[in-house]
Amino acid sequence: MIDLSHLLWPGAGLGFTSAVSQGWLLFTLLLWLLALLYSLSSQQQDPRAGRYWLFMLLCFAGNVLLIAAQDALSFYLGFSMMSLAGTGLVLHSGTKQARRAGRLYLQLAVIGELLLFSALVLRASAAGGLYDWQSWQNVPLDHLTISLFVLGLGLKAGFFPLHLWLPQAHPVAPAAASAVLSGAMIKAGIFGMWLFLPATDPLLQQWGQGVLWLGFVSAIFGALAALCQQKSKQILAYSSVSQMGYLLMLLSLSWLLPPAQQSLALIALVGYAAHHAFAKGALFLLAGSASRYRFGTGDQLLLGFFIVSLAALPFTSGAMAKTALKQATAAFALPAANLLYLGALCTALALCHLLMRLKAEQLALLSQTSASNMPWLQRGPVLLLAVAAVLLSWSGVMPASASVWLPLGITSYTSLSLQALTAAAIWAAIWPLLMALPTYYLLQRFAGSWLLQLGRRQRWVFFTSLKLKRLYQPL
Amino acid sequence: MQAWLLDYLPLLIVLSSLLPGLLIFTLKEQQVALRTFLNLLGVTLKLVLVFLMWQGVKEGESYYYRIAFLPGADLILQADALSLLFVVLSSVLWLATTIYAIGYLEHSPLRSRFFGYFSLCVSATVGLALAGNLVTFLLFYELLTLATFPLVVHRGTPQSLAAGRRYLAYTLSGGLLLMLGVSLLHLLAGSPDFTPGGYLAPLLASGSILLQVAFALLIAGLGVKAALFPLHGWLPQAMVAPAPVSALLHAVAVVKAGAFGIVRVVYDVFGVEVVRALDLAWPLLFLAAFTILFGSWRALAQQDLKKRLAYSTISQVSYITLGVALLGPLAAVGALVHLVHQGVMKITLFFCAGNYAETLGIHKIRELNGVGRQMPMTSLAFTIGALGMIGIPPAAGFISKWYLGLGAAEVAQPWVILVFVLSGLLNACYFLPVVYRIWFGVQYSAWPSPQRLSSRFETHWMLLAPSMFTLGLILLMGLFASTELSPLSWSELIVEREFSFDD
Amino acid sequence: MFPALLLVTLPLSAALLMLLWPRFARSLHVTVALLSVPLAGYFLQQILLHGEQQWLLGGWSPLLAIRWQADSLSALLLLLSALLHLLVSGYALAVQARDRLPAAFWPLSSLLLASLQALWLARDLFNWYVCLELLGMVAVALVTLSGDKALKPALNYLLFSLFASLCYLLGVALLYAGYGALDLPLLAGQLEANRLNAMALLLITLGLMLKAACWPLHIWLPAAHAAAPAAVSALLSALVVKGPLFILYLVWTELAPQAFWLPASYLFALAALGALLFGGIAALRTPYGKSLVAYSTVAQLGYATLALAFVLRFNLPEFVAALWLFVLAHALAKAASFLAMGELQQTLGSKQVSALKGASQTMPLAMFAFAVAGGSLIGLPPSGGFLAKWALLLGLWQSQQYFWLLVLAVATLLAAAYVFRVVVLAFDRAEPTAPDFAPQRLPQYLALLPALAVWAMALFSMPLLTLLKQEL
Repeated sequence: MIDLSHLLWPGAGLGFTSAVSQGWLLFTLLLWLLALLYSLSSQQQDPRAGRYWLFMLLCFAGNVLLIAAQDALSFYLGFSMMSLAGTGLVLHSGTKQARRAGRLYLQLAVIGELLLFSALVLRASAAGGLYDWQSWQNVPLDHLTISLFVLGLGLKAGFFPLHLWLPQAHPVAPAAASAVLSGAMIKAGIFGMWLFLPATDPLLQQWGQGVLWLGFVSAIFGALAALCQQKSKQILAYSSVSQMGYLLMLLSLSWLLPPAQQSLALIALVGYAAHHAFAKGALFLLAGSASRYRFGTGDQLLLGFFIVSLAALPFTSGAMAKTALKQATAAFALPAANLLYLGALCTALALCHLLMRLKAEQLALLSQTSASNMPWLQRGPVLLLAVAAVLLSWSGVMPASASVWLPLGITSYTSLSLQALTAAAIWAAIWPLLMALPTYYLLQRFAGSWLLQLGRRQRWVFFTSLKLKRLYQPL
Repeated sequence: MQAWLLDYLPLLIVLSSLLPGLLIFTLKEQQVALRTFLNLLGVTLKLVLVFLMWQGVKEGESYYYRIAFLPGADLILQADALSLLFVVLSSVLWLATTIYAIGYLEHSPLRSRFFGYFSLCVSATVGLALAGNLVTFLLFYELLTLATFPLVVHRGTPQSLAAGRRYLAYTLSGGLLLMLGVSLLHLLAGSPDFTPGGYLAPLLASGSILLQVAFALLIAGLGVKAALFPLHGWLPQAMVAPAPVSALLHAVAVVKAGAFGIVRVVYDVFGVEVVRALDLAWPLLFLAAFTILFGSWRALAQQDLKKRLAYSTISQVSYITLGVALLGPLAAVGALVHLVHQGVMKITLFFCAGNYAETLGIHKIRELNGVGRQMPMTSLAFTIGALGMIGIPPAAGFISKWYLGLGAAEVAQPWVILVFVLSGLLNACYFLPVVYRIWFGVQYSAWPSPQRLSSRFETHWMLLAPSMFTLGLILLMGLFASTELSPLSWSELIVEREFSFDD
Repeated sequence: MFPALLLVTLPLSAALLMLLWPRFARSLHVTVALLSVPLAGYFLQQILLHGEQQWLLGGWSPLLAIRWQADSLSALLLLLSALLHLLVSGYALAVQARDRLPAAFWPLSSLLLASLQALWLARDLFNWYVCLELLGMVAVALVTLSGDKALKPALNYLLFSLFASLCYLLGVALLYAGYGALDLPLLAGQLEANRLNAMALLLITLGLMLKAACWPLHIWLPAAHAAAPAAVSALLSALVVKGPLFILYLVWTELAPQAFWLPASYLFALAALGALLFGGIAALRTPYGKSLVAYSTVAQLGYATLALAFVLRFNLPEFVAALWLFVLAHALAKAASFLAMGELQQTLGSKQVSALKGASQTMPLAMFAFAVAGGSLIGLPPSGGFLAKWALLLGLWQSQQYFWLLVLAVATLLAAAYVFRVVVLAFDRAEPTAPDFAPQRLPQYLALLPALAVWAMALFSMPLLTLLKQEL
């Protein structure tokens, strides 16, 4: 850890001292670099590329800083840098949709930041004016602080019901920006909750149950809401809401489990976050490319790989992650464990839907213009993400010497990923998927238009946001 | 430096702007070079002297200069850590504002008069900072009113005259209340030097009503300049003054004089213990909290950029009062550091507003659409300043807000944090749309009255350089808050000295 | 003895000589004015060295002789009169050609000085009567110097002055009938609290209040002071009204029985209240520049009357100090503001306040002088007005007169309002009034001089208080 407290703000310190933050940094960094690489191609013809790069890099810096932060102020600096610069990304295209989504994003981001600010102040004060995590670990929490943290960080993480901005903002941003928004930036909320709500605190036991259910509802809700959408990027965004629900469940499990098993949940958390980052990032990139370029067979295979990975088909990183989740849930002997199958089913449905919509978009594109092939500068990053996802899932089967360069947290993921290779686990992963296909067909057949109408029911969000704006900015 | 010269240091610091100011009055309008020279000479001289004093005070030396004045109440100029905070702030910002004003008023009439009063204004501010007892403080407080009035009415238009009348009505009444309070305290306890921990504790036993009356009078008198809620009416109107004046009024001279006075009264006259014993902090606390929200609320409705900034000042200055009224050491650090940070941030914002007005003729917020392309540097400064006001790191405003929040939690008043949160929210509501317009808005009509002030920069370099300078300060103060040079460290030093009396 | 005698006889004889040789009037006047100042300074020094002094003129017994007595207060007032007289002489010299000041100004103002100096020195009721009468006559004559338009106010002034003298004389006669003496130290402590004495004191007070323009007996003052030439107004406002006040103070503190003090204090307080409020309001409303300054005199005299009222009621040193500090500060400030206002009106060619638009550009010096003097009238630190008000405030807090604190606050705000009414107009750049001719610099500087002096007064508060023999 680098101590900067005599140079920068009080208590300033940077470093990657825990396995969780090392793992988190690794996948965040990877996704960011690949997304930036992708932007080289995608923003080539952008007249406002300078602005784009400025905000991208600011977000990047903020995201890394908040992971590296060893003290409250550094975290807050990184967090707010990332949040506010994110507005620039959402607003980038300048269309009407982008403007209203940007407004909503900014409104909620500012509220979230202020809630986080007050939570941090209360915490720092309770810790007697010390700002570093080490000293905060043993300072008891209180309900007010916990709720402020959950709300403040939750608004960033975007789980239900704090997700309102997410499905609006992510689709309007440029593809690479959506990729990092969904893949890396919203995870800062979960990361923050892990940092500020140490599992050892007795009060969290009371909260754990509720948060677990919240995560579950979020997982189901996100997947179902995705079904009602028509645009691929919006489906992806709702799927993020659903996935954040899973992450939230893992986090709350880490509070609930006995200390010996807490590390299990944490490892699963990092693994799941990394899996989602890679898969969702890649899918956003692909969705962006799909609207402009013709997909070759290889590209379609890539797309299929990530979709099945996200649907947790056996042998993918998704399967590993889901198994880890089930393990952790089982260890707690929760009745909710069986409900996970319901979640898997919903996810699978949503992904079916995504695939159909992407295909439709691709067809529409091809019918209109003679679109060119996807450039390698865009395909390359996606490919590398696929490699990363494979590495993540198979690191357990690799010989120890090969995985020695991986950070600590990921190697302990080994046991979990190995457990995903048992027959029972494979079957458990497969049957919801098999069920999903006919269900999806039936749903589309008999309730397609109803779902479509349901999907339009989100106008109230913008309406409220506009009302709010009129309140502080009268005509 | 010679020892005898050191004794005169406080006086010299006041004179270093007063004498050039008086000389400037006698200059003819055309003597631009000489006037500029005198101005810059004064600024440089003052900065050098202040630097010397800063070094001394850091080592624990004290400077003391006394002239006979009223019976039992000499005119005392002295330098402690607290006064130096304000002295440094005003001299550094005077440098920026002088350069800005020279650029801003190029080719406009009556510049000798303007710069003369400008220097007087800074002298009064510095004198007020160095004042060693209440009577001296009162003297400079009134002089400040007189020195700023001609600046407010400088344009001589009907609006500025109306603003000037209102300004006088408020500030002279405030001065009167202050005088009543000071005379009452003088009768009760004499007018000893400001003492950390106050000097009124022995009087507690012999009745508290008069002390409470005195406190109310003092705070009401100071509250006028600090723009506390019912006494804030002069400030938005005073916006008709030229931009450098608004910058100076809002950032350093006038509003800060009030806030600084409140700090002095609470810490060095009454003392935290007495304030607590007399239950005086509560009304002040509520008033400040209300002012914070009220100012922000009113700022929302303003469509004129400078007016919006003015209401924002009302809100932001009350942070200082609030911090003081919390009576805790951490809150005190927050209040003191906000005194500096708010000054630098607000002066930046006013510089930028002036740049927009001078270069493109923009006064209304809706005219700002897309100005970020035309004037990127100014807009950057404005953005950072605005973010600082909301309290977003790494701008300096975050540090002060953080300490104020900690201070509130420390004295178990978590509702105050809610006030900060709401105010931050309102700040965001009235600043971020402006920032949005600047960078993302689409320009829909030609600029109101564009002027080509420079071939190399977006505007005249004398307008740009000060805003860049203060922009740098905002970021440096926010980022390097722990370094020895930072206002935060200095405020901690002050609080250490102010609060250590009872150990 | 000798310098005191000279201080009176020099201007007196000079005035007579001027009537004989009008050609030398100016030079004689200036010589006397110049000589008076060092003489008064020397006299003050003597008093400081040797303490209070008294002489019986002609060496007769106290019953018959004219008694002169000088303490440091008298010496200070002597010096002040000499100084202001010199200043006004200088001003008159500078503007006489431009303003066509009649030659009669010179002997009359010398006579004015002589009668004033005699008044400060006398301690004898009849002697004072003579001084007052002379002062009144000379003042009326000086007012008429403005020409025909001043005749009516001057006549008014004359009538009031005569009536006042008559009242005073009646009161003095009643006392003489009772005690057979007119000498103040002889009478001191002799008076019983009976009806006759009450009547006598009431008459004397009425006469003196009329002459000192205490509210509501001030009605003659604004018109007369506004009509007179600027130099005369300055003398009248700064010095002449202070003479009766001086007598009033001595009569009440030394002569009147203690039993009368309380009712008298109510009377004075009432007068002060009216003066402070109505004087201020009138100054705020009047459309003419010099009337504004004249009404301000009425208001400012209210402070002195208030201080006198509280001297009688509480006998605190703060109030005595406040009374005389007000007199000193007001004399300086009013001289400055009348000279400045006169200069502004002459140059800008209108009596209206509204004609002062833009004066801060066209005549910055005069305007500055007015503003600085106004600062003292308001009571801004470190001016003399502030010092006086400070003393008054301390006294009021100490005697717990909260109502009067409020009155004081309102009066201060009124003063601020009427002073800045002018100053704000002067900053109007929209349509400045153009001067009729190039402004003269010397008279403006002369107007500035007393204004600066009054602003430095608080810095010399200790020596001043020593002279007044009071401690705060």
